[in-house]
Amino acid sequence: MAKITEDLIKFGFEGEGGLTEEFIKRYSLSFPKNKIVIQEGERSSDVYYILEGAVYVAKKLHDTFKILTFLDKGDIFGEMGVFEETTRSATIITKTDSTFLKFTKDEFIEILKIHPRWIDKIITDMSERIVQMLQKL
Amino acid sequence: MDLRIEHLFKNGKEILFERGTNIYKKNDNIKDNAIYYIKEGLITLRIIKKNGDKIKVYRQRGDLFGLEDAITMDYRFLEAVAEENTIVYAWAKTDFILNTSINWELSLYAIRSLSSFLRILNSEFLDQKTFTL
Repeated sequence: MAKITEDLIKFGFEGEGGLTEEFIKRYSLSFPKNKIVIQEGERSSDVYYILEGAVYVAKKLHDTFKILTFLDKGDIFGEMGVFEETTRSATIITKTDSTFLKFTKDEFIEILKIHPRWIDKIITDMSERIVQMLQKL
Repeated sequence: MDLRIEHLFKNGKEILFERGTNIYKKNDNIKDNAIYYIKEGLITLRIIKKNGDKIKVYRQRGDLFGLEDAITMDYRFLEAVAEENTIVYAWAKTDFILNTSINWELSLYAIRSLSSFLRILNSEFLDQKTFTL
């Protein structure tokens, strides 16, 4: 069970509008361009919110990556690991210099429960990714 | 199958699709009751890839379908066919969204359903450009 801080509640209710310097310092981490953030096959359930920058969602094939989609500011990745007890389904690589908010599974579940906007966002975003993939197939 | 979820979906409209029926076709307009929970039976979601290959994704009792295009589009992006006589509970998008905002179990169920479908599609994805780090 995650410790619910006032800052976490504020972010849950207000999204980026509720961010404080202390919160950003505690949860953010930055990566330069072309760095792997999540590796396909890893067993981890941390969730990332893109504060700045953009990432590729890709699958490794031999020495190359096939791009599944792009995500940018305001998007979330890693959330599938929260809802399914499986390994990471894709590799996440920074497309530009990027800054993320990184939450543990428990912290992310608490955020989801604070305000329905997050559930709406995840259902909508995942539906859009499915439709995009159907368009590509 | 989660009986709590099934109980919740009983508030929807019950519809029987006989074996072989097209529940919807690609490019059909999304109807009012567009999100389906399978009470009994078996359906396939049918996708024809650009290279002509056909993919069938099976959905059975306790599964959800029709969600991804109902949420994002005005029309269907794939085809759904009843493989057996199939009874569904059909929900309107607005009711579905309202219920996910107040029911944690339903939210998890919907997200897991989408996530599993996305994994299947990702694995089918073959013809995208590659790059090297």
